[in-house]
Amino acid sequence: MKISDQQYSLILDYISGELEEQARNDVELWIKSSDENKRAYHKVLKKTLYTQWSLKDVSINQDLELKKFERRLHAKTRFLSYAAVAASILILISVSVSILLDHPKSELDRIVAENTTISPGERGAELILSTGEIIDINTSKSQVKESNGSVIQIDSVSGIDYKSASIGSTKQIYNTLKTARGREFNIILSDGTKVWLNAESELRYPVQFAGDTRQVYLKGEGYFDVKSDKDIPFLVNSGGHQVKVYGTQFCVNTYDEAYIQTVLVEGSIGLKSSAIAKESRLKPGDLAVVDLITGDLDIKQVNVRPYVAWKDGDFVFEDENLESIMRRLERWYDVKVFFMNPETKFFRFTGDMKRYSRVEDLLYFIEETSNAKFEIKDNAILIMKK
Amino acid sequence: MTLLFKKYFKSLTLWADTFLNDMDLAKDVVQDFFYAIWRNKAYQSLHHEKLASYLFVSVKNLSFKKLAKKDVLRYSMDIEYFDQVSEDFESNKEAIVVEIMKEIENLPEKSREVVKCIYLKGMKYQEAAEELGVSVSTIKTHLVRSMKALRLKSEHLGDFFLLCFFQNK
Repeated sequence: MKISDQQYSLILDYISGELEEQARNDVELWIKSSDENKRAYHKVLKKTLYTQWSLKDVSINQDLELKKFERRLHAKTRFLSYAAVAASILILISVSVSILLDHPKSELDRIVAENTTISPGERGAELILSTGEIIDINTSKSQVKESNGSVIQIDSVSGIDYKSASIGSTKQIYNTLKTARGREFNIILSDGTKVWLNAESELRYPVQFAGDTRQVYLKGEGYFDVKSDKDIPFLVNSGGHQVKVYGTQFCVNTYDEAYIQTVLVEGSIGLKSSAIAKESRLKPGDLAVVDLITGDLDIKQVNVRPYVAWKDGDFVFEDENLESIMRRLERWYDVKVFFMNPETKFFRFTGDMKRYSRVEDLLYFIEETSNAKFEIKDNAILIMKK
Repeated sequence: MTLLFKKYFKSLTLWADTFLNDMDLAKDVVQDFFYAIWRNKAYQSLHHEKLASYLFVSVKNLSFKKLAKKDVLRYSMDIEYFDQVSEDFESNKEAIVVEIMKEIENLPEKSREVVKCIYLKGMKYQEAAEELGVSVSTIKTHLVRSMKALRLKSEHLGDFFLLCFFQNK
């Protein structure tokens, strides 16, 4: 049911207790006058209650309250202990106190769900075969036979290897390697090219390269160490954007819907922002940003480490804004991030840490050296101004 | 006891605050309540299935005791609906909080400030107007606009959970 802004406003005023008696009675009459009105009112009431509870839920510092509560319990326990000394039955009482304190704990252990903790990402991925079959890669080792006869070696520690796959027919079939949030994996393609896939990413590639180009398709972020072959160029496609490779190491990042970042570590690559665009060549240390909306290409020299350190298990930030840092943490720790004060998004931070450390440790460092303050609540990280 | 506290303190405080509209008072009520449970060893007689409803009903009654009579009247007409909404909220709390916070984050700056003043700090319109240096009618406009803009997937989810709840019974 549609209600007018005016009526909506009255309902809100009523819920907030802002109305005089006469107006309040009018609203109550309106609510009671039909089931439809009542439903409309309930809908608004529910929304305001949800909003109120959510905001306040986030604002309560549970740890502080718990400490307060425990202090109170201990005050009581101490009092009992003194009485016990006086009566020379200290042992008896303290035993009973400990039973008293332990008892509900053991009983409630079963009732109370354990606190969820945020854990760093780990190795793991899904391999989608040409038949559409999905293989979850978490067990130690296995072999998979593809429809063209190729045998693929899967090892959760060293990755997937297509290079040693026995050659089946030359029919072009594709596999897809897919990582969820909080997962990473690596792979050796049939030509010997190595690819590291970051969290929440996807790489589609042929089981055996054939023809006069080697083409793969990337979503998310991947680091490539391409086996040089002058006659058969290696091409990374994502959207309309294409990286042509002349033997080299580089990283492509397509997480942002608005642009694609490519950073070249070693060798040489050519970049086309679309199928018809002119190719631009990158030198080592170049960062190229393609604006997907305008098609503009921007190239500048950077320190490559912050862009590629993830592959070696590090988080490196160099004067990076908090918003972009937190987006990275979101993917790796599989958490939700909320900026309670929007200006905190633009705080900048420089640091170098291990990707497999606890998120608390990481946030601690950022908190110490910036004006931001963090609070972890279940699976969410809230960011506030200090 | 600590586990009981950890699991229910926030929810019960929010619940008490719903009636008291005073966060500090609400915290005290719930702290006292937990302390009373511990002192009276009431936890020994708590049963798993009834635990939550016992806690919520107790806190509601305690809150009403703290209130002046006329304020109680304000809620008398809706009290059952409050219970139901609270149950929905508790049954899917994580998702709802995340969703609402995201929605609030997406509001324009001014509207967000107004929503925070009214629903987080529990201010009257007049107080919020002074705090933000705008008129009361501006506050009202922002409030209507914000609440209309909030879209809840969980509005329907709540009904779904209620259904499950009854089927389990």
